[in-house]
Amino acid sequence: MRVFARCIHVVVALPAILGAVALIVLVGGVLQWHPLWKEPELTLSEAAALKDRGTMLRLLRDGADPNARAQVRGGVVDDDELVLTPLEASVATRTPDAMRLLLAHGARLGERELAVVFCLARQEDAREILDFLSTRPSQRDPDCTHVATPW
Amino acid sequence: MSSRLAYAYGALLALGLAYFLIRMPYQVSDDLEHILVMQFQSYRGLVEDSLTGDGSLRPLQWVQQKVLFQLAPAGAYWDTFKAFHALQLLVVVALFVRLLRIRAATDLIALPLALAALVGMHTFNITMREAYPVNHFMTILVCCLAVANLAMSRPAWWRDVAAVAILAYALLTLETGLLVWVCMVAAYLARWRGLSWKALAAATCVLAAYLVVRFVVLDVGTRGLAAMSSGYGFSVRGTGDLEELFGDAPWTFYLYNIVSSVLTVLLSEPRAGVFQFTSFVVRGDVPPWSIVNVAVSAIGTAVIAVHIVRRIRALWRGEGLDESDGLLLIFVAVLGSNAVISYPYTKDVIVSPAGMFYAAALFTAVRSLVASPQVRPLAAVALLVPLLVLSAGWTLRAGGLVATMRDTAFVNRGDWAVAEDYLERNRPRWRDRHPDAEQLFVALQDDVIRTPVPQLYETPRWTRRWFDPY
Repeated sequence: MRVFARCIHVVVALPAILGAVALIVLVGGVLQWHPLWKEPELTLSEAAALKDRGTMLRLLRDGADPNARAQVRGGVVDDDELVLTPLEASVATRTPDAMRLLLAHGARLGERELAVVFCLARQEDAREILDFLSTRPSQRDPDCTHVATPW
Repeated sequence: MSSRLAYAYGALLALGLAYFLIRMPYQVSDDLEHILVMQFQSYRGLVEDSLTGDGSLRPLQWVQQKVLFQLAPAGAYWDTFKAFHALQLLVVVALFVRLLRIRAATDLIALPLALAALVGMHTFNITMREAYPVNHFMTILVCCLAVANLAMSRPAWWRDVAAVAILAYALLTLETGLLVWVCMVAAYLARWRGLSWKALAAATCVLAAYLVVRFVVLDVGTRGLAAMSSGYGFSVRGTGDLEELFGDAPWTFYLYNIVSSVLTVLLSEPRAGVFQFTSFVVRGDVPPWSIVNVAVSAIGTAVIAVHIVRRIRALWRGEGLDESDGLLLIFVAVLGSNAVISYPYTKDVIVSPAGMFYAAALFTAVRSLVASPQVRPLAAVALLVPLLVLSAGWTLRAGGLVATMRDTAFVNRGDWAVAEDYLERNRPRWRDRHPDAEQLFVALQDDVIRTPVPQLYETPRWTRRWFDPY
């Protein structure tokens, strides 16, 4: 009987685990260890691939080149590590949001860049990006059979 | 000793949540616009504007925001608003723990479950994840708890005065401030005598004056059918849809909202008027978090219902009301009134006071189970399984709050990066309202984009199935 009563007490008190987690979080915070709130350093291309517009704007304000190729670690766009321009990387998000931000901050979308981005978007079936690209003036669809895409 | 441990545990949990709260950027919509309004608008202008409202009368909401805006040292606006938000959270938890009157070890055993239900309840979620930039729903929780605590204490004239002042403050902050009066009445009916009948009479006069000013003098009215989009059936309907569906008989929609609001507290279904779990079942793909939500709410409600029936039988036998019966009575009264107030449209956060008192009622019911000495072995075994589901489920739901705060932080920071577009779309002339408007905007935005937040791609996939994302 007493065993059952104890079992009920233990079961009811189970949410006290939350207190233990809170203690770990607070002590960790004091020691500058934030296991549940850590942010890795990203390149502009990685931020663009993750549609992390906050990091993108911070990096751009701090002087990052919106046209520079940068490393994108494995698991973000592809299983393998890639080297991409932010515009190329942004195709991975399948939405034009990151692309718009990059273009508003000086990213270049000339004929060569457009061909790569367009063919990547077609390859990924990223319709929103294709629609967005089609709204840009005086651009004609490139022939993707002759365009090398980075992934 | 038990009481001190209870406060210590409550403080630990609240501080743990505050850790995430102060790191999470607030959303763009409402926050940005409100802060820019604080910059150019005087106190008088804010109050005057709020008196000519669109079905709402919330002058103190604006005053409270302006006070904090002006108190912010050297542009530390976010820090100030978040410090206030964290303080509100600490006060809510402290007052909640006080209301439970933890005295014995069995009380202490049931406390973590009650606090997990308080913070894990979906109606509480938005009080943590949103601010405008002051979360006024949280303010109402503080007011309700403050008045309930006053009513539970020994009588004193200053308690009467404080309770009436809190009611006036709550009424002029948000419509659900009316629930403070409901708490006072329910507590009095439960024979809590911290507040006298004179306080109750004065509070009723304040409420009557508020209603006269609102509906007769200012003719602010309430929000009607076409005021907001709202959940109905399996989806959120726009105002046009609602007009089309209920234009001839809006009362049927109002009734739907009232019933939805009661059910969402008791069963976690529907959510903001949308029968989410049911639609998952119809589709044949029910995520585990949705099963957990409905299961733990249903079990918790059953436990509360059984306890209420037991207490009614005890009263019938001539036993008097005990102190914790007041919590049950307040819960039932607040649930009903909160649901009625929600009649024009439903949002989970509107019923946050009912959700909070649900957690208090759950505490009372579970404590009585834990303390009851006549439990037979078979009954104990039969109890063990649902209690385990209840405990584990509320623990998971409370953990889900942190998971959604992490996701919200990432999304909000991203939205701030394009907040200027939002302003241009919604307030095209925002720069003309104050010479330093642009400077303030850039400072707010820069603060947000430099705030570290967790990356969503690093979140383990299994959490998407087990933690409620809404």
